[in-house]
Amino acid sequence: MSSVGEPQRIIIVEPLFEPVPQELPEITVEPIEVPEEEPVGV
Amino acid sequence: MLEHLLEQAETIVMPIIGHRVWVVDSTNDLHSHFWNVRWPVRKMMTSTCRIGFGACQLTAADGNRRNEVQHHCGIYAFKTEDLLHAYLRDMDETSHCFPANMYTDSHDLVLGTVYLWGKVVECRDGYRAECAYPQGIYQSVWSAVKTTRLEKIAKLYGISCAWQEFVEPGYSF
Repeated sequence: MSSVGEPQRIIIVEPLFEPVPQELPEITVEPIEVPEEEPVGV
Repeated sequence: MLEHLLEQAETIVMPIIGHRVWVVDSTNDLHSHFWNVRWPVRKMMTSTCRIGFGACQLTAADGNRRNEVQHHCGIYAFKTEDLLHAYLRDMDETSHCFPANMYTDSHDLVLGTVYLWGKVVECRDGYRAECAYPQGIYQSVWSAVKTTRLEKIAKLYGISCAWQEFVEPGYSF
């Protein structure tokens, strides 16, 4: 007998998608220049 | 015996989740703790017949399953964390130390959960599956692998990593 015991039943598992993570593409972030606003008087 | 079970097999669409142990090598790749098998990074792990007849229930492509009863092929996982710990404890008490994987010469164990799919033989305490991929790994008293290294392994495989406090009452390490 194996470590997991005697077979009881067979299940056919057909996942809608394979649970295997894919490599994510490298994402580079460009800095955005924000114009300085004129100070507003109160 | 398994042929009879196959005739009654049910089909489900969600992967089964099991609990298992790996050995990690110096490059942070996961390996079977028993066989000379490396778990591929970001690719599914597929069971292959180790007896060599190619007639295993899990791996037969030609419908020839005459040797299936003698086979115990598949990617193994336990149903619960407690069963995994009981297995590790049994190995520890039997051999007085968990044996190193003879192929990687590593004592670094990693515990975690694993997705199982394809043809899956449900057994009393666990599963033997055709396809698998790690779901996550966690810190355990059975593992001396440090958290920073666990995080590297998890990042490599694209899986989750968690701390876990497991202290079994009455058992000292």
